[in-house]
Amino acid sequence: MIHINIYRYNPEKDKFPYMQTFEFEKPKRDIMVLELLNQLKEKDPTISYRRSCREGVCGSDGMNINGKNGLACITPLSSVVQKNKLDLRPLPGLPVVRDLVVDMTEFYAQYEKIKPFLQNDVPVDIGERLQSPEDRDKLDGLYECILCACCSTSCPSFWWNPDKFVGPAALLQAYRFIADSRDTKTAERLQSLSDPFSVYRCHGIMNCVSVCPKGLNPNEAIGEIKSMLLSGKNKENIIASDGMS
Amino acid sequence: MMGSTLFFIQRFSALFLLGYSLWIMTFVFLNQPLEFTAWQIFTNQLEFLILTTLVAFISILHAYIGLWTVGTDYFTSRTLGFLHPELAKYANLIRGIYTLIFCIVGLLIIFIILLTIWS
Ligand code: SF4
Ligand code: SF4
Ligand code: FES
Repeated sequence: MIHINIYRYNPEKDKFPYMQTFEFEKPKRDIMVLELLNQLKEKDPTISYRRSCREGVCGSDGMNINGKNGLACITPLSSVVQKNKLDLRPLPGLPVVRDLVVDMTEFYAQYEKIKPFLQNDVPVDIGERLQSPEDRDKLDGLYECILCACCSTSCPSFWWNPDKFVGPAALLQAYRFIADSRDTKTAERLQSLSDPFSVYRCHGIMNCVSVCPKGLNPNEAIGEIKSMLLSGKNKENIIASDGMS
Repeated sequence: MMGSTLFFIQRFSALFLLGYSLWIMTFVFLNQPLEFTAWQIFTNQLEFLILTTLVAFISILHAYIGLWTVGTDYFTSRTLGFLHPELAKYANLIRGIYTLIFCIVGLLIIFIILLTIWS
């Protein structure tokens, strides 16, 4: 038997959140944490969590699994159960809507702030904006982010100032557009991050890197933004990284 | 812009403090066994007085930026609210008192250093 402790909170009924324990028969084959939740939900339909693609693509089932953020759908039970025990909690730092579902408003507000779309004032003359294979390579390790929020909600700087510190996920996306040869708003993008909070609140603790289920490295992108801000380096100096951490 | 300025102040002040510490340590190391008169001559020279005066101001500036960062991380209505919702209401007051305390302590430290070396 595995003891599964799940964070439960229904603001309409509960004064305080609490942990509820479920006993779960050890499965014969290894299953993912999401599958375990689905099976528990058949017994107790009130357990709430988000999920959609169940293959690590949509980013909706980010949660805190035995103390570490991750996607339930691609986390095998065998890799997280310790001493027949598993704790499932919502992503830390964001307000809880119910059980494992958090309110992502602040997370998306930061994403919106970095203007996550291509900006280019030069009119296109041949129908599309072309990019050399070398320039395209510079986006590897950046564009793959699925906005699951595992990184930002594991970052202490984001816990303390989610309204002022942009957070690793949105900063990775900010750099994705800064590094894009087709985007012409590099200076404006950097200017909007130059206050003491937006990017400088990152102290390089690297929680973001250790949890990213896609193996991305927001800390490296943050480092690039900081050195561009500090040195006045521009796009031409950006070299493609090996993409994944 | 302000972010980069604070970043540079923190790093350059740290380098300055490191250089100063190495200078003092080298003197102590090269003058073993250290006699009081040698120390007195060293600490009475103009270079020592000027550099130590600079150290007093620079280290307080360095500490101020660091402590301001700590204050705006931990003494905010959000962070104090994690401890108790009532505390959140007094966050600005608590951060104000905290800032006042380290400003007073900082000025006191500068005063003591200047008094010690120049008197
Ligand atoms: S490296 Fe920066 S962004 Fe990543 S967890 Fe640490 S402080 Fe947060
Ligand atoms: S960087 Fe990784 S952890 Fe952060 S939101 Fe993107 S995919 Fe999720
Ligand atoms: S359900 Fe889509 S990422 Fe897990």
